[in-house]
Amino acid sequence: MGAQPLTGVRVLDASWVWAGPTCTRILADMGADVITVENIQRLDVTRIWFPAENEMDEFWNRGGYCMKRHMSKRGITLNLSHPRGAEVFKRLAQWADVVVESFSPRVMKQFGLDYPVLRQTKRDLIMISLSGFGQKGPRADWTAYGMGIDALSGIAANTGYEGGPPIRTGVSYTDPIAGTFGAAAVLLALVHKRRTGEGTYVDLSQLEAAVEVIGETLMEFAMNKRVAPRIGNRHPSMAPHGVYRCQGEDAWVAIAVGTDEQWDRLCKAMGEPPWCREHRFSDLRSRWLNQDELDRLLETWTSTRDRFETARLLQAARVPAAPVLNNKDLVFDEHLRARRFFHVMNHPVVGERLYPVQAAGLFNGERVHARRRAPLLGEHSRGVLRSIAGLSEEEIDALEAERVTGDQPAFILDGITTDQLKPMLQLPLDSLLKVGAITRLDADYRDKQLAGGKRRARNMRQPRRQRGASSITPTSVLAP
Amino acid sequence: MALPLDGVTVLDPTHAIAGPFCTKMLALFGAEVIKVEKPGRGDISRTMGPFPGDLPDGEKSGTFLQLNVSKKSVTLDLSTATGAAIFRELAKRSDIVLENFRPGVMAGFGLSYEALSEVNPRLVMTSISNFGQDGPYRDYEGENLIVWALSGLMSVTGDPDKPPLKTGGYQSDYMAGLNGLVMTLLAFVQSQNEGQGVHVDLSAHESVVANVEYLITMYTFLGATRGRWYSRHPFSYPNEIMPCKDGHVAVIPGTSGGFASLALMLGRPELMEDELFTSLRARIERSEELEDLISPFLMEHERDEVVQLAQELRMPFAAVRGANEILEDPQLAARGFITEVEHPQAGVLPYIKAPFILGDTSGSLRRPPLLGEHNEEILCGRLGYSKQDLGRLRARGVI
Repeated sequence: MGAQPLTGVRVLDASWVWAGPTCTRILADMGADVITVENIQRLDVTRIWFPAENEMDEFWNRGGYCMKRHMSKRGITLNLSHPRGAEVFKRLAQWADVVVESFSPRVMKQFGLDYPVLRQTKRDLIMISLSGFGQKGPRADWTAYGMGIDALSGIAANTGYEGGPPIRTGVSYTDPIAGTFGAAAVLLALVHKRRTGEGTYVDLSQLEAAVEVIGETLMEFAMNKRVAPRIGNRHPSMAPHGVYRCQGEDAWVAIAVGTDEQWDRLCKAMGEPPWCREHRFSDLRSRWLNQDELDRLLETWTSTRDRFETARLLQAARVPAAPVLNNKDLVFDEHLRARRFFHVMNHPVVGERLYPVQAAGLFNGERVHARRRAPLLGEHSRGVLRSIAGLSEEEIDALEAERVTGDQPAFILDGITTDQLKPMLQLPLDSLLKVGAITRLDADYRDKQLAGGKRRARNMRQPRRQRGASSITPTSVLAP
Repeated sequence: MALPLDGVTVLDPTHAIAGPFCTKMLALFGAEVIKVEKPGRGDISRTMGPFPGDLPDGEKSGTFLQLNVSKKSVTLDLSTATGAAIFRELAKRSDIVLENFRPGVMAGFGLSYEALSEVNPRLVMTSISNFGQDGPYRDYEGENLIVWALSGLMSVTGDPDKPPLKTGGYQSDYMAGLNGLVMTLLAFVQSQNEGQGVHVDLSAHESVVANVEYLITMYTFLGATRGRWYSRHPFSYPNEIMPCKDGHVAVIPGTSGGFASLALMLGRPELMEDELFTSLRARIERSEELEDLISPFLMEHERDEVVQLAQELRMPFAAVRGANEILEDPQLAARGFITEVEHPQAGVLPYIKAPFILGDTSGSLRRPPLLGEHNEEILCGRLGYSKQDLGRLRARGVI
């Protein structure tokens, strides 16, 4: 299991979708006791996305998104907009050291669950709100999705082919960026509490979190009144710098040459084609000025070669290069597997699957993986409401009857069948395949993902290393 | 409010983006961050720019300035025995060391985690590298594009008939630094709990892949390999960037009643019954038709008007903005996110703090340091070197 620095820290998590759950998964993996609160009246959309095998049976417990996001946590359901639901939440907040939420501002206040209220019964409470734009200000009441933050933050404007429009990055990752910042903020608050005994309220803005990762563009404008144009895969000073077509369908290799020494090594690795020693490519600046032609010529070399082999050849020659990987390649990447980035977890509905880590890093050479599988919808409601909120069985039954809690979506309880829901919930994979949003569908993915990883996965739980032992021992990491 | 990391000392030989981004946050929240820069050139980000008027100047590089607020600067050549010895002395008096050299470089200086924890058993050391301290890619030549190519993100960004596209900027470095922030704080808590140091090994590569995890889930849960599909989101289409009269807008109807709202905004309520609005399958297969329905409206309206109308209907549309608008954003101003600070050489420039308000602060912002500005304060004041000593060390190129 590895380091568990947050053992004993209790987190009550009312957040949903991606940002908040990322924050709390990091905390949970590192030992915190996290209870995630969902609502059967209004399901988190990620409960539904990527239903395993695109099947609908018990779809609320098949969603790949939340299988991964909610690992290491316990899960309960409470309708916070119902007075009894809010009341139970308040009791749970007394148990918690940290409360996490990501609703639009004012929602928790409307529930009667904002910081001033919760603090009355827990003076040293730490609470964090991860909203789109912050709790106050002229835009605080606007709604924000990750794709929108990508646009507002400047990341989208900075991304696109030369001379082309702004382009959305294929995964709008501003959510996990905000969630990771959220985890950092919670940790700072915990450090503060340890020293002073005081709690804190943290008001995080997802937009600001996204702006952080392009901070240098603000300087460009402040200094020179210039917004840098979109330059595709090119670099302000390095050349060659881009992706080059290789053999096969949609196969590419990325090459980035930053120094004349690297250029020299690239020329040698290519076997010295006559053009590579032309004067106009002999120094960095000239290569940059002539990169249109340079790119074209470089591609005449790569286009007959395999992307993996080309990258290996160039890296062996100490030239920065890598194959452009797709999502399937990632699952089988030898480096990620050697570094124990994935592990296998079993689940009552979806069975054994490979999952990636969230907080990526090794502590004293050991990988910290999720401690338990994701909970089924409402799986721990009874236990938590009884043992932490102090409710009797009858009281819990009453909450269930009123749909304040439960372990199935309310509309299912109301009699809507999964068949009726199929057209809305099942992914039209064939359509996506037709238009190229998906390029292939493998049949053997369930076994295949485990076959490559099983050997590594089963050896995840390595014995704690001796103090003083070097963590840089590649051979022991790669040993089966 | 007292800052959470008051009294914590961070010894920081990091350079470029990843490490400094991490230590900026530590500095903002009270840690004393002592940058250790190479004598002469300093942190390589001092050469990266942007520069005022495009004139390179090590004290005026926008990337360096933005990332190194609230820190102190000491110069040390770690490749010299004396430089390394001074570093060890400082490490003895520090709580945290962050480094982002290539694997093996710190060990080459005699400054591995093992060596440093001998002088300071409670030391937390975070090593950030492109690919980690071990594994098949450990010694790979890395760079933002290279890490990004391996992350899977390029294969899903851009046009299907054009090359895979990298997100602009240096995103992998920032993600590494952010992951480093969380892991370092966790390690700090751990070392306080256990009374023993921790060595954190993290990579830019893993930091990016951890953020794109549903690319992995698409395969493990559906067997699907994803491709490039313009700015369109495959599962809640349309969610994409489209041109309007005076710019671009992210068209995002949202998941709760969004299509009814979209029909209203277009002034065509009958579309609520149209298959293009009610069926995801139809939207995917007839995406051009759907765009043809929306596009004329967008081209007749200015971006901010479209967004305003959409937001009033609770659709999370968003304007595609550039740096100039971010600097002038009234929401960011209201939160005090951007602060102007004067620097003796670079002048007054806008700096961003942390993206959250912790209690009543989003960080204590002080101007970035000049190269070696704190040599005297640290080397003389803390380690007991005399000014003459400093002169000798300078002459030998150690500082």
